[in-house]
Amino acid sequence: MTAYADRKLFIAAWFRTVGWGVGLYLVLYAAAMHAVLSMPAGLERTALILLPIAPGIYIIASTIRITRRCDEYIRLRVLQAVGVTAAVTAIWTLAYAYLELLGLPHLSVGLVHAVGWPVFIVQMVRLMRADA
Amino acid sequence: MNNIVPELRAKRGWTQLELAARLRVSRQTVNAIETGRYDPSLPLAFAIARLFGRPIETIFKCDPVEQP
Repeated sequence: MTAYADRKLFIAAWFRTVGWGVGLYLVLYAAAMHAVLSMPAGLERTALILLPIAPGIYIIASTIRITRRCDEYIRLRVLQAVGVTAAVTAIWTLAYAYLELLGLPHLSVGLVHAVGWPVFIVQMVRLMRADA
Repeated sequence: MNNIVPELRAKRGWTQLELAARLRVSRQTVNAIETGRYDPSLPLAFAIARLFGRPIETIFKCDPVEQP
């Protein structure tokens, strides 16, 4: 049986997951920055710097778990959102790679997230509002 | 693909939510099927046919251009 009988319940569960994930990310990001600025090189410093990856894994794993409890139509819509996000991310990173050749400043690869996550969240908000 | 799900549902006096509950899917799925924005999977199409007690091909019909 489908656990989320309504798309809004699924979206609410997903946004709760993202909220916890982002909150955890901010805490671990602060710890990572502390490690970058004030800890000597070593295993502990490396581990602390890598810690902010964990919330990302948590959000992705939770998204898969939550999506499995949805019906086929909502799963399809989420898959479309993932596809659009992947396409937008691929195009902007490729375009910027060429723009760097023209002299634009070199950006951190971490900025891929600054575009990818908002694009995915916009898709999920559109899913929440569509045929309400 | 066209379907007569809205007519069959209306004959029984069910809301989209009631039909969704009987099919164990979301109301949005029923809405998408009825408005032709989504073609259901084979298992769901069979579940719809079973629920309305009709052969599947009398509920869902392919557009002429889609037929092989």
